Amino acid sequence: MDEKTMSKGRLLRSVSLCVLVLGSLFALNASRATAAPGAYHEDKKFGYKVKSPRGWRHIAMSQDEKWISLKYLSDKSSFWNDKETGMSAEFKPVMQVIVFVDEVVKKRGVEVEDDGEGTLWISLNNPYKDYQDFLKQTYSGGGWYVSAEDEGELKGVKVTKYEIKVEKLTYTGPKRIITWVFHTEDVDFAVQFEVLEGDYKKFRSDVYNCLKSFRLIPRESALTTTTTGKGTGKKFKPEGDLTPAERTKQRKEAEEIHHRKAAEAVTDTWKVKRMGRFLVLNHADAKYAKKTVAHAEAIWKWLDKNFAYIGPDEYVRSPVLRICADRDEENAFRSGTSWGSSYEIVTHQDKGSGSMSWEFEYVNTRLLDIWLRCRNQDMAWAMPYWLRQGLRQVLGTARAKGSRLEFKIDDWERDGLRESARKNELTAPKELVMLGRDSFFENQNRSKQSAAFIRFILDAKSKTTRAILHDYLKNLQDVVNEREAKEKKEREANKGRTSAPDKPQTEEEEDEAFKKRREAFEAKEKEFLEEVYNRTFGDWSDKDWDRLTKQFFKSVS
Amino acid sequence: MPRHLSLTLPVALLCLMVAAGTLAPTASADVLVLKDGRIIERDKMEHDDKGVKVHFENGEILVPHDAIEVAVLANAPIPEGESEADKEKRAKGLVPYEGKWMKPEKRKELLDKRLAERRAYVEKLRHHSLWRHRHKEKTRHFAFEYTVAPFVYEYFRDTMEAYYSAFAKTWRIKQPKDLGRLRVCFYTDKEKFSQIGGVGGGVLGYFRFVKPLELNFYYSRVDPEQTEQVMYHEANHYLQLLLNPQFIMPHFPSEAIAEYYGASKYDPKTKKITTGHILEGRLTEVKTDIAAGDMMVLQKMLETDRMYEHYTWGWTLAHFLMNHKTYKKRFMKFVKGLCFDKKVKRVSQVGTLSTVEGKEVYRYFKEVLKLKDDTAVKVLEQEWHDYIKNTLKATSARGLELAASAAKRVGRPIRAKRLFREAIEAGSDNPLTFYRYGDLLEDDGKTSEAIKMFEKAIELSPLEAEFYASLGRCMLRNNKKEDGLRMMKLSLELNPDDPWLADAVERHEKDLARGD
Repeated sequence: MDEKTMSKGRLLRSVSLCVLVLGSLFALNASRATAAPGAYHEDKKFGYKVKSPRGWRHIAMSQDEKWISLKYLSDKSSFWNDKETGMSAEFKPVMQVIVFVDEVVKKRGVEVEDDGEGTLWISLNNPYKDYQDFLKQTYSGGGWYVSAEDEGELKGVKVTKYEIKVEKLTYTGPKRIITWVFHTEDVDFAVQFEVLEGDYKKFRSDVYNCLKSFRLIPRESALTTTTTGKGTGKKFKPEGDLTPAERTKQRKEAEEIHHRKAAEAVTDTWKVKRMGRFLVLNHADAKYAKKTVAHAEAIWKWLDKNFAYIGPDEYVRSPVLRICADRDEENAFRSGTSWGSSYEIVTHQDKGSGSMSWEFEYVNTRLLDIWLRCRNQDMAWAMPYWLRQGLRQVLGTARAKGSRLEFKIDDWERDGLRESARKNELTAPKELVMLGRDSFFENQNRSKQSAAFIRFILDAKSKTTRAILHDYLKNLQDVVNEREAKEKKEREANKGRTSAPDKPQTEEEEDEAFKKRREAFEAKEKEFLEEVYNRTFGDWSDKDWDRLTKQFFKSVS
Repeated sequence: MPRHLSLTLPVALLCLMVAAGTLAPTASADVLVLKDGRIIERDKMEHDDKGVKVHFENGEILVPHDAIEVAVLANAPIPEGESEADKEKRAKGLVPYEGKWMKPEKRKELLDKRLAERRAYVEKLRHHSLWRHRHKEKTRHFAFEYTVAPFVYEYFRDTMEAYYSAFAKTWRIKQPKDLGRLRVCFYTDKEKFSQIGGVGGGVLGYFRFVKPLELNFYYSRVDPEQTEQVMYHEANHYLQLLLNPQFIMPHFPSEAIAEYYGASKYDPKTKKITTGHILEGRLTEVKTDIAAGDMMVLQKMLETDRMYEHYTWGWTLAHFLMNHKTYKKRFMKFVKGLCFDKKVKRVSQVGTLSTVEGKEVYRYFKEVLKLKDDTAVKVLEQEWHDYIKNTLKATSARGLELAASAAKRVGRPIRAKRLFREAIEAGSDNPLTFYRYGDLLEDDGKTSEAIKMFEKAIELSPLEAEFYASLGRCMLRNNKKEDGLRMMKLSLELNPDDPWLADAVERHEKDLARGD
């Protein structure tokens, strides 16, 4: 996570690229109708119905959600103030139904499958054992304990009633969770409400009325258990093993499946529409969706045009753009158990924030990541920090204006540059392009300086200066590709070799090897940066650098 | 630390503590309460001269007497008398019970009563192991809330009070009336601590420095010494706060001092505490850095607002200064001055609290330590480095174990093996030492030697699933197929939740059936 993302407090979910360890076995999302507030919500797949409090909002689930079958969010916010720290937080009570299918819960263990084409797929099925195990592994709202537990029965269905208190290290305030777990022959249904402790009395009657409304209904078909990777999704080959044409074919196939599943999983209050190169799932107003897509499309076009030399034969997958109605809905959506797809961009309508909204910036940077990853993944991962952070900031804050892209500077960047200039902490370009991971982040304003440097290059009058970014990127790509080809060759040559590399035989040799290993990362990083530097700036004199530095510093001060 | 507290607990064994899964005991199951607070339930247990045998499908495990606090065995056999007098009484139809001879009905009556009492005791322990039924006790300076067994808790309670007194005497602090006693929450294990305390996996304990002030830590049965160290460390943050409750001590020297006092030792007999011992785990980390050529620069450490090395190198600096005739006074003045000295530039922190930034810490350190120029700083730095190299040494079995484990962790197996050997020669009775050494020997293909190490680990801590899994794996490699598979299955009985182990057992079972 970069410093800007951190500073804005956004919770980003990391996305696993290679799905080898999979949680559970059940995909929950079948197309279902939204119940009117206060009315029964029926789930015919699992065979239950339950009422939600009047006025609460039904929240869409990720297409990959495997445990949470239903989620409702209160229409009203609760507030918590901590007198000691002066902290305050807003919280919206939430209701959810978590489903524990016996057959799924029982299926723990390792699955090994040979696809017959040289790939061995190892999956760990590690489903939640029960409701408390689910809470243990997923709850992140603070320290919790079961404060009361009782057994009972409702309309012939056995119920375990939990009262849970969230007290320690809770940054959104102490909370109370009331959950009734209904035990049926083949499924346990946990109906859970979470409210701020201070507001518990206010919500108590609503909560219990809804819990008591739970009923079993006939299922539309028998429950089936599907094992991971068998029927729920297709397994794709590692992209590195494919040619560009094969990669394109595979990406298109994966894209089609992803789009189909995503479209199927939303409720009927969501609009599903193909807009430009995106599949848009929209719960915001149409105008906002149009604006978001316009910005992202402009970024995409700009990247295609300006960085055409990066992976020219590669197909960039069309992302799913999910626009939630507001932040609460987005947070509720993200709080499921699914990791989501790395090709899905989830955002919300940021009312009142104008064109410089962080949400547009987030969509833009996610698109940049997707574009770079598809065009040249190795290069994207190998990008030096000045380039990575700088591009994210420059394109993140860019906005569509008509058919072109307009680059803007936000307050975050402007303030940081001012501070750096005032403290005399601006980094000279020659030093900036050689900074490794650790040294880059030693100064908290380096990302801002990197963005300013890229802007300076892009806007430069001098042809030589304008060429810097493209020359650097081309050389970076060449170095990465050459190294990858060399490593591939070595891997091929070493295939079948059984003898281990030379191992230290004495403690002294081991100490020496240890020392080298500790220094290896930094040395390798330095060597890599030097190689790209030499290819790009090899013929630059100190005078050239001084001139560039002077001009750059002038542009930011 | 009392010997019984150094017993290890396999985390895997947690599954035995509750009635769950395939190990669910019946209502009349036998029960063992171990001295580390664990409650073990199985349907069949049996007394033995050396302890209690716990029966599993794939073997029996002997839990030695000195590890058992209470045993509740429904069908305890009547011991056989050896002397003539015993035989005479037995011939009269009498049976022995706790040194007395009586009628079988009487014995049964007493036994049932004893069993009922013990079952009630076990139930009480189990009841209080839930946070909602936690014990609460107020001592002079602390308000304890705990779910560990009372016989485990008492030692830590006494230690905390002794620790408070020792620190208060040296640093002249008092508990302000408006703050009241410090709430101390003590959990049975890491999982419960993480869940109820609301922290991530890597945290061992924490002190909440805004009201309500609170100390949270857990009992590590795998490493009780670590529990004590964590308690001292986190409690020290509270004691530092008592210097000035409106001030948050900067990361350095806060963590360095907390680590310095983390190396304290309590003597339950004299009820006295000694501080400033060698923190061998931290020393190992520092020595590893030195071996890799990373020497810490004094200025960098003091100027950096937060860095991990404040725990490791910071501790060595605190140790050096606190053990130096001249520097000790100056260092203590520096620490107190950070809180009170009007010349120190403070910045606001959470709420109304203030702190000092790294650059100011360094400036003030130089001022109080009387380091007039860069040369003086370098001289002190050199003295400190020399102190680490020449004075701070890990020589106890514990220190050697920690150094060996650290070497193993960072990929220095040759050094690790030497240190493990030295730890064993120094009298280590830590099962993890034998287990980890066995692991390295197995890597070298020395399976027979590795088996011996795993067997020793099991002897010292007989309920660790992982030990049986390693023993089984090694036996399989050593061509002892049936015994190897049985050990792996026994391991799975102890930890049925391990899918990788279940998979390995399944594969080996198939191999064995095929005759591979």
